[in-house]
Amino acid sequence: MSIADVTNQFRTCPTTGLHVHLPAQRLIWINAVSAVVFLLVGGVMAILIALTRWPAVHLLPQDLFYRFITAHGINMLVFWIVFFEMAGIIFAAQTILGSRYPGIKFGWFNYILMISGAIMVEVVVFMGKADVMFTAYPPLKANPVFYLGIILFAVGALFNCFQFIYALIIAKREGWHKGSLPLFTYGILTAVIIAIFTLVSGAAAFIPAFLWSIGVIPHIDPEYYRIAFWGFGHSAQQINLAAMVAIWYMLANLTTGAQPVNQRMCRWAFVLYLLGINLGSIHHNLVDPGLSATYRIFNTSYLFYAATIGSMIHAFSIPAAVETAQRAKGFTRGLFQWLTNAPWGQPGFSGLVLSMVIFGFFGGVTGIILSVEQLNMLSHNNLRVPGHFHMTVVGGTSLAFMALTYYVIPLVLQRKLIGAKWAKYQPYIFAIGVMMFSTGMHFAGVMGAPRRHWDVTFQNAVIQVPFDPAMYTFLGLVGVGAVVAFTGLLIFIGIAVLSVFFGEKIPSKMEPHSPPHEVLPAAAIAKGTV
Amino acid sequence: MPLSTPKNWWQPFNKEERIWLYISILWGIIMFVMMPLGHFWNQNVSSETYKTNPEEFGQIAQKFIDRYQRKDAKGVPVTHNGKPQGIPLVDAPSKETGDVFLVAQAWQFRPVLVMKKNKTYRIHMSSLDYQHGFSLQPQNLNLQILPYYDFVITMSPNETGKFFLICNEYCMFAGEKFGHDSMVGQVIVED
Amino acid sequence: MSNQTNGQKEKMHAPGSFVLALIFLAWFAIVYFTQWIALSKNWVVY
Repeated sequence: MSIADVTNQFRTCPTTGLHVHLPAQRLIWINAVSAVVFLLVGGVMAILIALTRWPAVHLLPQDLFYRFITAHGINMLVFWIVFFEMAGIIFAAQTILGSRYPGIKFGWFNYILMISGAIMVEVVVFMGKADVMFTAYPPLKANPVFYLGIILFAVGALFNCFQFIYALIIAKREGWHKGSLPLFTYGILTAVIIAIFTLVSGAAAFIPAFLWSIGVIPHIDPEYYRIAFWGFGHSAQQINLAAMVAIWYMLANLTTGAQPVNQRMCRWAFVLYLLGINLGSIHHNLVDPGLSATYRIFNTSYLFYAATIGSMIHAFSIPAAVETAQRAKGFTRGLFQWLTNAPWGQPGFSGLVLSMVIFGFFGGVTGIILSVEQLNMLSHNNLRVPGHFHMTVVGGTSLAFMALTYYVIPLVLQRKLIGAKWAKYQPYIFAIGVMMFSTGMHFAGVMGAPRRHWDVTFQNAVIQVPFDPAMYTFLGLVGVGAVVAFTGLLIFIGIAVLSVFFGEKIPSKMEPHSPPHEVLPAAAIAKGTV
Repeated sequence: MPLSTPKNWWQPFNKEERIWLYISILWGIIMFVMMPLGHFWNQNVSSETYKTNPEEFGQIAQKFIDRYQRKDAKGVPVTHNGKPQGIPLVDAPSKETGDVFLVAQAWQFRPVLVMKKNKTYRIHMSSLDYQHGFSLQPQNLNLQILPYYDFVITMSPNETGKFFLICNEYCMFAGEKFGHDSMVGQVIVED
Repeated sequence: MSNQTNGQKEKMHAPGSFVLALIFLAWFAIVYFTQWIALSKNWVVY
């Protein structure tokens, strides 16, 4: 396909002036819509689970409870987040750089791999053949289709990551883009690099597990699997973190015109994420047998705090960018007028702030604490752990993704928002719900409530275990908070689905677009004149 | 601008950026130092571990239970609830005398250990089937028990009373009823 | 690293954000050390 053919496949966005490559837009559409479908499935599982952990309601029977936890974990942590990220990386490479997206057919092939893998896993989990939790720790053994589905999904995602990097190379080589990468794409690039490491680690865990499940290998060492799995599992969270931070910068810019005061710090902070991720996952194994204290301390802190420092840099850099932009608009009174006069009614801004606050003050802080070698003994496997990660992944990452979606729908998918009035309140409702149930989980865990446990009253046990009665109150808070959060979730899904399928189409001019910069001729490179 | 190509982003840092960067690095160092410090304060997770397998560990543990199980006045072995099907009650030997063995098996922690306050014990833990979670309540002390690994912890109770073990690692499979969420054990500390 | 050399004390561009960041750090430190105190009340495992 020559550049001349591609030239006529572009439209120009009326709002931002960005050049959108239409075949890539269709890929973004299918990945984003798939993400929201899995979000809905995972969300329904979530409310049912929460109403079961609330002892007064205790909704589900035992087998469905464990089945739905497995389904919830996989749908949310894997399918919703990763499909959304796939849409995001295409956007970052194509639209932000104004380049063509190379290999559209390959992109569709990868999507088919991913959706096939996802459907395989859904079917086998709901049939009850894989009640092993998302972590699937051996000696718990699931049906081979479970492992195979996850492997297919991961392969599709990995190929998409390689395609992203290839797209960046093409953008440079064919002259579509010249100069440093814009900050958003730079952040997404770090996310993609982390993703490649993550998926390789996942292969190290899931391929042996798959072979074990079909009987090719007789035994799989439980500690090996734990370490390999969390090399995949934790690094996957760093992907979400890098993507979320990149989105924060974008939302700050879209809502207030904020530009980072000094991009040098921001870019270094993203690099710190890269340096820190492949260590740090051992915080999932701090109370496992067989690991030396030195290994635990080094791995869980030395470079991991490098990643923390990266986050702390962003924690200052983004508000500083917003503050600078707001002060330039004239809001200079006192220390905080820039904040009180910020566009709180725009879901992009409220989502940005709520996501940062929940992720930083609550999710991040509890996470660091859980990962200290000694403190982990107080928290391993009790409800503090889900309390923590719901603050980060749901209140942080998912909320940021939702806030971004309100802009993706009109700008990229060319549909006017239906229910924009509801969009104003949705981030607040969702954030309040998430804080309620996560806080409930945190304190219930502090009092000893185990995670992944159907019945903390131990009604069927031979010994009655007395817990602090206050724990039951916190479990009730989990239930109530989940209802509020689920309401916020349904509002979001309602707006998204209605808008994408029934929203008024926003017309956009088809404008031919070809590389604005000189293609780098090999001869000129060799001569040194380029 | 996050969406556009920056012209020249290699600029010197602002005053507050620099200060915040130094503070962040300092805080990172403080957090890092806390962990080795914790070692000096003896608040560590044990690393003593031996390779084993369910069959071997099961046999050693059974021998341990047979040897140390408390017997009542008539010579009948005592269980936690007095009934013969209950969990065996064992007077744990302190570390000078011998080692203690705790078995995690779907779905029971066996035996019930009776310890003495301020004495030190070496406890070997392993699983005979799935992964299990050792969660001592109300202390909320949590460790992981794996099959094929014999995890040895050294501990010394500093208060008397009845304490409970619950399993906080999911350890059952489809159709197995009354499993993971009824898995309990007990530790009793006497003077 | 060069500073502004205009003779005046260098002005902060984003004082509100700096204060917010310090509040975050204070919160972080308080929560972190509370946890260590909680741990010290437990059995000493060694």
